[in-house]
Amino acid sequence: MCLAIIKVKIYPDLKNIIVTEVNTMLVKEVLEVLKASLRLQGQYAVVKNGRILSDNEYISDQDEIVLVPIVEGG
Amino acid sequence: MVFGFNGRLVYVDLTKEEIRVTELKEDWCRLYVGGSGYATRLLYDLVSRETEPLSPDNVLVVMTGPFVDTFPVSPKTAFVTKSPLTGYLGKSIVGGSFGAMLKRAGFDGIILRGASEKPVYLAIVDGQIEIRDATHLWGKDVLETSRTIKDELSNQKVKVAAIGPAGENLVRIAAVITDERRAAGRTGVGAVMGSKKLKAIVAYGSKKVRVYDREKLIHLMREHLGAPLKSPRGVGLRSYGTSGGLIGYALDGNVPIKNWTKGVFDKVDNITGQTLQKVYKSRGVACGTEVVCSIQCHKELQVSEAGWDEWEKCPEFETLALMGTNLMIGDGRALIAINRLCDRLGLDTISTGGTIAWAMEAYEKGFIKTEDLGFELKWGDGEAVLKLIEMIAYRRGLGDVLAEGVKRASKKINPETEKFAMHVKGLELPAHHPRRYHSIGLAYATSNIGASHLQGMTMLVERGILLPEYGISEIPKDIESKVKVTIIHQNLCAFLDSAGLCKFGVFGIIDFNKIAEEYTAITGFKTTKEDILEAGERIWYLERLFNLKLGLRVEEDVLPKRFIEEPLDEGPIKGVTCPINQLLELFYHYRDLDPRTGHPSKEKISKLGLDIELD
Repeated sequence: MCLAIIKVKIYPDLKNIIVTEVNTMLVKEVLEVLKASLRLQGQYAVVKNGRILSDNEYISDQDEIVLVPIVEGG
Repeated sequence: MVFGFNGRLVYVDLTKEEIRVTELKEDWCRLYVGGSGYATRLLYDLVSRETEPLSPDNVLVVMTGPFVDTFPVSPKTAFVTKSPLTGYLGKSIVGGSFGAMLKRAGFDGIILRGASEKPVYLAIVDGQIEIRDATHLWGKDVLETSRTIKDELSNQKVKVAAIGPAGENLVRIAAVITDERRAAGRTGVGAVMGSKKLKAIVAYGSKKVRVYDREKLIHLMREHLGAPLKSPRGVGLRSYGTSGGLIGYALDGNVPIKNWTKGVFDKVDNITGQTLQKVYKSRGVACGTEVVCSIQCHKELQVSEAGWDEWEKCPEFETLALMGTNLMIGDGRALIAINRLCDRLGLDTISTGGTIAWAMEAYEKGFIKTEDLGFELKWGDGEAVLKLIEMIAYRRGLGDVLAEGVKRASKKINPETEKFAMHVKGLELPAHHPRRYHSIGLAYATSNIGASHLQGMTMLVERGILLPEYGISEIPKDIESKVKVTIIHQNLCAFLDSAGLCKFGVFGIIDFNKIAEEYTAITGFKTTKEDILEAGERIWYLERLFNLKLGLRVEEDVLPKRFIEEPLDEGPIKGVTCPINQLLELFYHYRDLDPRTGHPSKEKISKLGLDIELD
C-alpha cells in the first residue's frame, strides 16, 4: 500500500530528483526503505528544508527530502 | 627487550654535533606505552619552566609506539616538545609512513636538543645516523625539500619529515610535514625544528621489529582490517575522507562560521568533500605508502584546470571548516589552493585559519586597516587569504604579527581584540563546536595541549558513536555524563597517541577489548580494556603534571567567552551557549584536581604509579 509519494535527492547531486512511493512515513523507516532500494551504503541523514529530521519524525505526501551521507571525521 | 619496539633511541645534540644511541626503558614502555606518552616522560626530565621553547635548550622528541609498523591502521608518529605557541606541552600526532620507516631504520624515536649553526638535516638510514648539510635546502618549500633529498640520496623510498619556510622563520603555528603532505600541524612543532636549524629528518630501512605472538596478531589484523567495512563510520570515511563530514556537521550546527559568530553559511554546499569529489576526479589512498589500512581516508583530487599536474590533497574537514566556513570562503578551488599552499610552506591549517578569522574580524571592526596590509581583507576573499598565508610564512608586514598565533597577535594589535581571539592556552580552536557539543568544549578547555579535538573526541559520543565496553551505552545528555565521557575519551586518546593507532581506525570501528588483545599480542604485556584506560589516564596526568611544572594555572582551563556569553541568533544551535563552568566544576571533582591550583592529589599520582619527582 502506498502512503506517500516523495521526491528524493541524493547529496551532493541536487539536480536529479527521484520520485518514489513509500509505504511508511516514519523517517527511520523511510530511510531504510530508500537505502535498500537505492543501494546506498553507510550512514545517511534525511534533510528537509535544510533541517535534519530525527528518526521519529514523519514525512508527508509530496515532501522533497535530501539524503545526506554522514561522515564522522576528525 | 620489549616486543613491538627496536629498543633503541637516537639522541642528537645539534650544538655539539653529537650523536648517541640510547636504550629504550622497558618500565617506561609498561607505564607510558610509547609514542607521546613515552616522549612526555622523557621531556618531563629534560625541560623546565625556564626553558625558552625556541632556544637550543628545548627538546623535541619524535617517537613511535608499539603498533607502528607492527599492525595495520597504525601510522601515527608523535612530535612532542615544549610548545612555542602555548608554553606548555606541545604535541602533534601525524599519520603517513615516517614512523614506520624510522622503525625499519632501527630506532623507535629521536631526541633532539641544541641548535646547529647552519641548516642541517638528519639522515637515519639502515641503522646509520648522519647530520648532513642542508644549506642548499634552506628556503625551499616542503615538497621541493623532500624531493631534493630523495634525489640526492638516490632513494625515492626514504620518508622525509620536513619544515617549510614557516618553520625556518620561527612562525609559532608552523607544522612539520611528513610524506610530502601529512601535517604534524599543532602546537608549533615546526618552529622548534626551525629554531634548531633542522630542515628535515630522513628515515629509511628494512628492519622489522619482533612481536610477542605473531600468529595471534595475524588473526587480529585480519579482523581489524575487516571492521571498517562493516561499520557506518568506516564506510563514510572510506567513501569521502574527513572532508565528507562537513555537510552533516554544518546541518547540525557543528562548524565555525565567521569566527564563530554565525549559525548558517549559504555556500557550504560548494565546499563539502562530496561536492569536491564530484567536481574533480578523485581517489582514496592510505596516508602513507607503507601504511596498511582498509579505510584509506586520504583523498586526492586532480585539479588540472589550475595547471597542477599532480594529484592534490583534498582538504580535510578541519581545513574546509577553519579556512572555509569560518572565513566564509565558498569556493572549493580556492580552498584546495589554500590547503596546498599551507602544506608547502609548512603551516598548520587549523591555527592559520583561526588566526586569519580573527584578523578578518579585526579588519571588519577597524582594528586592522587596509594600509596595514596593502589590500582589503574581507570575509570570503580567498585571494586575500592566499596573500596573507605567504605573509605569515615569511613574516612579511602584518604577517609577522599573525605568525605569533592569535593569542599574541591580538594582545599586540589591541587588547580589545582579545575578546574574539579564539584559542585555549594559546592554541587556536579546531572546528567542532562547543555550543553544539558541550563535552567538546570541556575537552578543549582541559586538553593538555590547548584546544584540540583529538585529545578527547567527545563529539563522536554526542553524535552516537558510543563506547559500551566502558559503560557508555547512550548519548550523554546531562552535565555529569558529559564530564564522565570526556574523561574516558581523554584517557583513551592519550593511550592511542602513545600506541601509534589511528583514532579513525578505532572509535566506531572496533572495541577496546580487541585493542587490548592486539596490544598484548604485540608487546606481551597482558592487557585488558581496563588496563588501557588506566594507561591512558596515567599519561593524561603525566601531561597535566608536566604543564603544572611549566607554570600552568587553573585559570587557563577555560573556553573563549564567546561560547559562554554570545549565543547565535540563527541556525541549528540558535540561542545555545556552553555551560563550561558547571562542566569544569565536576571535571575537577572526578579528575581529583584541586579547583584552586589544578593539581592532582598525591593519592591519585601514587595510585597511577607515576614515577616522577614532584616539585
